[in-house]
Amino acid sequence: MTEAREHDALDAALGRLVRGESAQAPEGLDPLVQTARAAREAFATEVPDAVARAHIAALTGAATLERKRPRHRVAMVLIAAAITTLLLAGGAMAASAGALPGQLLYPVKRAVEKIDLAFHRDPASRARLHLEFAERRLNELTTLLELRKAGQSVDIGAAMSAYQSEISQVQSAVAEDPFGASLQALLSHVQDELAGHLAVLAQLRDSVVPQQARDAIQNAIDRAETARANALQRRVNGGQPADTPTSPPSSPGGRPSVNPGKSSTHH
Amino acid sequence: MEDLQDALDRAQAGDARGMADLYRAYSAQLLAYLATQVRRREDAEDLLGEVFLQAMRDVASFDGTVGGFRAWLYRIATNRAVDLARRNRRRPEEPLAIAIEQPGTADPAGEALGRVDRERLWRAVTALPEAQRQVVAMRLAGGLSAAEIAKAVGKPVGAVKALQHRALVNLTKALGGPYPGVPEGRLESREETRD
Repeated sequence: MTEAREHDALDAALGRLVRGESAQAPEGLDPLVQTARAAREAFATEVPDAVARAHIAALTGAATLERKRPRHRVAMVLIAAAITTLLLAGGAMAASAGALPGQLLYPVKRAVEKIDLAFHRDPASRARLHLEFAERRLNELTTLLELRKAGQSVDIGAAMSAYQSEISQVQSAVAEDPFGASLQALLSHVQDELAGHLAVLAQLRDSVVPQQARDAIQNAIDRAETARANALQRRVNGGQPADTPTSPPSSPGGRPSVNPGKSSTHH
Repeated sequence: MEDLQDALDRAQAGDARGMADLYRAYSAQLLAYLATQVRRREDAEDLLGEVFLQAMRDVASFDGTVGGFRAWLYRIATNRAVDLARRNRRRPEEPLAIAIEQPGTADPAGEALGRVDRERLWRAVTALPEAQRQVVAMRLAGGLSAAEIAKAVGKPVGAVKALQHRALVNLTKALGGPYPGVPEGRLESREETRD
């Protein structure tokens, strides 16, 4: 069988497999079809209900906004949030504002944040939003640790992973617009906010007993410290990216340098 | 299919309920595809929402039938996934377990694959060269035909068929399965192969 015919024969067998028909494989191709069958079964998944509801509500809200074309993006986001709230029967979105990782409405909360981001195209706005979301992750961490003290079983790993992801997104957004007119102001804002985050994280780390949780918080501290140091270096360089990214503190258990001026992210 | 064409027509006329119907029809398969392209399940769910939001914004300019719409949707999804991977390039590697051990995810592979084999399969999929991974996932997770995939990735149908063949050979080898005529060697890595 020529190579092209073999490709055609395999494609035909895959077509039958995808349609749920008997996928009799031509001679020699059976192992590949078996792998394809196993992969197709392994890939199968479902969209969680809460996620699907949030997405559909966002689609409906976005369509309404497209027709109205309000002048201000903030207004658009507020209207989207209002519409989404109305559409989610029972006020699921409003209720999701206080949701914590692992809770049913948490995906709704994150989906609403994504809607917010969808209406902010310029890198500076996105960087500020990601900073805000990072602060929310810190608030979630604070609440989770309070729940832990009250005897509940909580997993702070997800909150810390999400926090680090937001900080990475801040850095990426800043890097997308290295010559923006407001870059210096943005870098200054990033630095100040991260200093506040570091203060909170250090406080939380020192209040936590289990080593695993301390390590997770320390990793977040390292990430925030690196991001803050890079922002500082870029300010010094007049906005030019640092030649070598600043490394996190070498001692995993060491205290980061923190700005004591901001001691809490609670609003 | 007629219902979906009607949904597309309504979406193009600005009726978000039409796009919501398309979401209900395609979201599970698209999420399955996205989960093979990013490491974290949460990222895949986020991207799913972004893909449909972009589709809602741009659907008025889409010129074609619902068959072409599905390929168009996967093109958006692929571009978004590639962008995300680019943004995350400096992030430390996330454990793959995060992507495959999500609560609420059914385990339909349980009968066909043991857990260990399933993990090996996922690791092998993530290790595939990007073009092979996209094509084989569109085919098996998304259920697209070779012609639809060709539209989505902008390659000739023959190239798509060759890519899916090579991808399945690599996956079979990674799972330890015999495949006559394939020289022994380790799995091609993303860096080694340009498709």
